[in-house]
Amino acid sequence: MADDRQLVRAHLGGDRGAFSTLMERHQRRVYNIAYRMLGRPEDAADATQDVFLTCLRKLSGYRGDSAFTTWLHRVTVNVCHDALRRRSREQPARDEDGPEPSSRDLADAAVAAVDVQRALCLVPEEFRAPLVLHDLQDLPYDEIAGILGAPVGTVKSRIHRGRVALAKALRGEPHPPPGPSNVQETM
Amino acid sequence: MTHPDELLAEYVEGALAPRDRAEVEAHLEACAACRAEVADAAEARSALRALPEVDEPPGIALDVLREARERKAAPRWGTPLRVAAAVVLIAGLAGGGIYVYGQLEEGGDAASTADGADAEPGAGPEAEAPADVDEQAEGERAAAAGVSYPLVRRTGIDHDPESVVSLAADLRDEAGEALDAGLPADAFAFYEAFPVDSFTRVAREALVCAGQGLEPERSVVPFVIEDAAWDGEPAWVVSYLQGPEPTTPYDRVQILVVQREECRVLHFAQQRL
Repeated sequence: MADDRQLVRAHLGGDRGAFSTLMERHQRRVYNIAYRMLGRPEDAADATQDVFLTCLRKLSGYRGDSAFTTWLHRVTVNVCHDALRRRSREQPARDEDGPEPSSRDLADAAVAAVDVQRALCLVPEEFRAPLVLHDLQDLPYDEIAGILGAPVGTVKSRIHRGRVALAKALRGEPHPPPGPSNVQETM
Repeated sequence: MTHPDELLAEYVEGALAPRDRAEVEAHLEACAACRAEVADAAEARSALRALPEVDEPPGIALDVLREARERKAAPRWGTPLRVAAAVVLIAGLAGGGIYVYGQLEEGGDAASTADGADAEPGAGPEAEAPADVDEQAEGERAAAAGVSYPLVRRTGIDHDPESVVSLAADLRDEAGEALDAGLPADAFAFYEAFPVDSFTRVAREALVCAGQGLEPERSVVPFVIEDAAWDGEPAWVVSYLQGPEPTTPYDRVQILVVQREECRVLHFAQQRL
């Protein structure tokens, strides 16, 4: 089976099916990242479309010096950040990002999933992306560093901070106070 | 006290090498704040890992291909504007003069479109909004942090060649003011400040229809987009700023009028800045 780079080359060379194969291969992960970043299925579907349309436009600029998935996930994270920025511009007063609060009639696991997603939407964006990529998508730290264009150490500490913020959001603490490491720089 | 933040993520996963692990544990003995964080982080990680993968809705790939085909079908920069630009180059731009070119695509329609448009500006069916109201179709465009481009205005003006001439002069003045107010002075700086992904959906729709201004490598910068009309038909009146190179200051504003439904190019005008 052709690998991603071969498919990219084939697409740029005029093979009409190559890009479809790339989409079929990657759309599930792109959609899942977008869904966890944005918290709403319809936004995730829009974002997934945007990601692949952006890819079509920019694929000729993909140099092949990073893995195609790294490049694709970078586009995905950027599209999600843009969607969140648009959302905050369009609905500044809106506080209930993400799914509605769970109803206790649902099965326990589903209740938990809705609550966790809701809490995830309260985690600051700069922590949310690495958290989704690592704890949900199982991507290694160095790959996430490549996607976000940040040093590995920064990615690790953002993931830690993100987890702490998530735990606080799960407990309903609205604005997580700065952790010890946030304070350290000023001491 | 310094906290081993970078190690805590891996500590929670049980992924640290023995030496780092010992270092973290020694720190945790002494630091209650980090102990609490580690407990929180472990709880959060297990909550995340219990989240199920979700199924993507069917048809995304098809939608992408359909959308891409539609964009391709829209008139491209390569055809009408380049033709017009070449004509302008040959003719030379008389100092500050305006160049108007009616109906660039099929020569057969040119006369009827350019000459037959007898409606006065503001006399069209949806012309209640005066030109100077400049209602922003998306009020949030002028964000607190400053204006973001391209500007989208629902004017409803029924344009004709004459009204486009005066629009061109207005846009020249407005571009001058916008530059003074901080509009990036060249295409390269513009796309740094306003990446294509930051354009609103309406702006993108209009630009796709007009067939340019969505590709940052171009030297063309979308400036003001009017949701308006031409000879009674709904039309996008899209204006672009352009310089000789992406990194040199704009030297002209171009106006492209495209019919809304079929993205047909109806009119083109250019004005020196």
